[in-house]
Amino acid sequence: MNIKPFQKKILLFLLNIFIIVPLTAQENTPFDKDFFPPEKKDALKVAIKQIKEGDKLYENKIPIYDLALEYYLDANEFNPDNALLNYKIGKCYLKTVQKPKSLKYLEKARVLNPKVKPDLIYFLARSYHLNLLLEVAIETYEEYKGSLTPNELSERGDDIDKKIDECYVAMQMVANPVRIFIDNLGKGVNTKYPEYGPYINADETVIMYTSSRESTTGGKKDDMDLQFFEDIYISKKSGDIWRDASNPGKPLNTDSHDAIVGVSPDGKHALIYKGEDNGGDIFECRIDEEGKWRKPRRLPKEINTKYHESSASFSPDMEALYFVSDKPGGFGRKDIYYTSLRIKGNREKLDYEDAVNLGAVINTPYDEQGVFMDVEGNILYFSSKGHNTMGGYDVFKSSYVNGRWTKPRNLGYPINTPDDDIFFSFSRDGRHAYYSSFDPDGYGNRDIYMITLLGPEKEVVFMEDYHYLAFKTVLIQENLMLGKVEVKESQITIVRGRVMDAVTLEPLGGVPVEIYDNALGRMISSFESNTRTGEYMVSLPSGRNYGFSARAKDYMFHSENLIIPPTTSVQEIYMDMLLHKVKVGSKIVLKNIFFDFDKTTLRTTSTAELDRLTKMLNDIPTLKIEISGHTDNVGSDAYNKNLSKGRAKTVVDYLIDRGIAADRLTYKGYGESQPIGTNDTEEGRQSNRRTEFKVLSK
Amino acid sequence: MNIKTIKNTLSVTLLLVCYTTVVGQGAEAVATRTADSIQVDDQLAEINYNKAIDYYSEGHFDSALRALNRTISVKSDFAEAFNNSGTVKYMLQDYLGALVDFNTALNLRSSAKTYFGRGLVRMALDSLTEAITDFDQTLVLEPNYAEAYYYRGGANYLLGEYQLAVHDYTRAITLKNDYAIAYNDRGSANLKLNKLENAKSDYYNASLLDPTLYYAFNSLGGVKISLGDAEGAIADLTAAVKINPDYYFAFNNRGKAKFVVEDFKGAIEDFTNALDLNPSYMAALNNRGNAKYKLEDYHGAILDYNEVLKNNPSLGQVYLNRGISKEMIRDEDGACNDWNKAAELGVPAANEYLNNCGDN
Repeated sequence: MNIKPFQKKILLFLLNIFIIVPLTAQENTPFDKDFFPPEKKDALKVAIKQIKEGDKLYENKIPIYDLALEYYLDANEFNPDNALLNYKIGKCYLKTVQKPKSLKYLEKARVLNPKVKPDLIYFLARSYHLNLLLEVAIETYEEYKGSLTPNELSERGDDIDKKIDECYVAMQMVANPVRIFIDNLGKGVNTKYPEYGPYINADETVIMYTSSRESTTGGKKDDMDLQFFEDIYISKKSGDIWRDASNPGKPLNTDSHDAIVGVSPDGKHALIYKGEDNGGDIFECRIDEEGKWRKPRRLPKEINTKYHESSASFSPDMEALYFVSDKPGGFGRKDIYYTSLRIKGNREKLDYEDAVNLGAVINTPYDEQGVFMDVEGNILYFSSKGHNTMGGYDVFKSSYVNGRWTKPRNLGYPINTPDDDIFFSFSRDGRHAYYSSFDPDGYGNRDIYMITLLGPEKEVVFMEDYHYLAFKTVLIQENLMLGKVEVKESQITIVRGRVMDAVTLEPLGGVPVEIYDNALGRMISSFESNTRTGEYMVSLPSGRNYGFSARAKDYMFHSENLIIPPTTSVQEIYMDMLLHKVKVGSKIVLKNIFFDFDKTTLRTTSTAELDRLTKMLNDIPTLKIEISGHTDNVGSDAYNKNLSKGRAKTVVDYLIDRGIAADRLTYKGYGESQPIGTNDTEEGRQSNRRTEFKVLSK
Repeated sequence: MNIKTIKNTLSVTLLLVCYTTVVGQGAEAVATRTADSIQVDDQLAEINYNKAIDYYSEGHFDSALRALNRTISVKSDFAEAFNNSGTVKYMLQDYLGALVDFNTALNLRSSAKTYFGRGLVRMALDSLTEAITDFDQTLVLEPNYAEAYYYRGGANYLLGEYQLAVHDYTRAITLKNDYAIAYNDRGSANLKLNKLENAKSDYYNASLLDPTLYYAFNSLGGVKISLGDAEGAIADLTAAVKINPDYYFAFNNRGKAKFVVEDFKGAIEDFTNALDLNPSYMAALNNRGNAKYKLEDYHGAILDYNEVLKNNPSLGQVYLNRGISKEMIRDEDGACNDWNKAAELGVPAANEYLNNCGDN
């Protein structure tokens, strides 16, 4: 079963009402032959007769509006434009369970003849009120109030003002509806006859309620309203289904009216209202050990008076009773009272203390009715026309806290409506309420419904993911690259040539060639000449001073000093290296030995060449050599001889210092006497400034 | 000794490189070159280094990296090359490789930019405290380095030091007035500090400075939802999805804004858009379930929640939501079971709802 929240139904119902009300200018049409064509004469007669039948019921001492309505509606089919008939239909509806339907007819009555009855406007206001057309209801109540004479106003003004207040309360309630489900208890409980006054046991498995249906005990109808006498019915729940209700018969029910007004939490005690005498009293009935209902007993005088006692509820421990009475001395006509029970024996005899009015927190100058104490014994549910009702009786709830009743709280719309909302019973957990109502989709007349209170709307929760970016998830686009550098272009010299025998010019392959950066004092490249051709090639930065050396087996090492000038473009230098065999008398210029100017001090750039010489002497331990110094012709001969001799000695000292035996070394200074080039040019003079060694023996 | 000049320098240089490679491999080589000249190495390194920058700027990171590898192979003391190699590796998400390169660069030469780069790498490696140290060092060397403040702010943000983050972002903005993403990120830090108005202002400025910054529009919309301006949020989020139609977060957020203004159908459309863009985006699926619930499509809502929970059974709030829809279809047992689960997973509201469950 899937019943949508009740408020939706109300709204749809109201919408339908508005759709079908045509407020066009129309004329009041009496039920008079002058207003109808002759061919409708017979039908007119029938209609007039229906009105008369309806009027009998309408004007009965105790009006029977339901039945009157049927006659009136038939007559209205014939002539829908009679103000008085529309007024009566509207008023009848207001007295039935289908109150909202009154609006259409009352509005039409007003259009046809606003003065058809003095109280038309009041009933119209009430219909607006019941239809939750609250603003227009207030205006119409005000309009009615304005139409009253001063005497009428003093008599009815307070009531009208209260109705207006109720409209304002209703506005608040409707704006903040409580969430409920409403379920019809089904065909096991409900029939086309009226069912009302439901009471549920604690575990919601047994329901007792009142119905006036044809299975009533004795099978008779009440002459007053032509309805079957009321009886108490019991239904039990099986799974989710309420099984067919049974009439427990006598002695719980009688041939007269028997109405349930309360059930004990265990479902074994019933409180029954019987209205035949003493102004209407409350009886108690219980199930004996055999499971049979005993004869109801009128509750004693502490409860029942000659006034009207109409509703009662046990406390959960069965030691107290809450009941409603309109006896004098209360705050209003009907108030709620409380009495304690002193139980003697097996409840065969009950003594009650004097009833106490529950006080001004609960009771009001208006009527309270339909009292129900929850199974925990501390929450009182009741209906009241006072407090902040939105119209008629509303259901309220008050808790007993620290010896006091809390301010009653309206259970809210749509549990409550501007109509009478009364005789509710509640489940143990307060989640379910049972009550009766009319619904066009029900089984007929009033049915029993269960309300499921859902409580405040449960808020669905979003998965919080706003995706607030604080640190970019995209890759960093910051330019972390350091910038370009200026390329020092083209300062390259390609040196190529061949390594050959100095005498035969035969290529010498596989000869190790080493290149030293004389400024840095370290070898920067080493390689071997081509094994077949003796060729080599190397690229070198320009603008530096290089020492080349090559040495093959059985050959003396060969060294070249190559000073490559700076250049802005690539250049190529061809330089062959001619190696001399080791033989006595052979001379080699040590081209990479450098001295400080005009001194005998070796420059550090000479180290590589001297180390090569050292290595050769170590490789050929029998070798004896002469180191000789030579100069150009600048300066005196003596000076030059002395300088060249000093430089030759410095070389010899270096070699001795590196472990070469002194007897393998001799030195001489030749000064300018053995030039190998001209002294007329700087280039020639440079070649003459040299250090040589000569093989003395091997 | 003959000397001749070759004019096409670059060609010759490259030829030399090739030649050297060839001659070094065979016994018949003209000459064996065991160490090229310093100058040639320098030149070769510089050419490759510069070429790498060009590759990088064109987005050809792999080529850039190869060029830098050639650079470093011939000039191992080229600090800038290591810096750039680290950068390229960072872009290629080889964070450990990047870290090694930045470390080498810093060993060779101290540089603000290199510290900064290493800081970013450390952030990527989640070494946030070390990253902050690098940004500190960056700022010692270059105090007006706005980006260093910005990313230090980011590291502080990730460490939960939101006040420090705000401070850093503010410094970055002071140094660079049009620093849109710094405004954006300060907005997020302010949000963490629950300073919603400040956050809103920051996101607004970010979106103003950079109208393409879709995530700033998205965040601005999100804050506006929190501030109760759902209508305003819808406008901003619409801008976000217009700039970036694939940005499913913005669709999701706009869906939430539409939900707030009770345009539940519109909300469902947006959540569905988000899911079309990213079918595994479970937040949008849950939220769509919420919108369906509001439209009383309880069964549809439950289907969405089911799908979310199938993917992630530990989402307490989704159990809570599903329970609410189950209650509306009168499946009270199912609802109570879901709320029980939600309560177990620490959703406080579930305990309150369980009060309705009686003995369940």
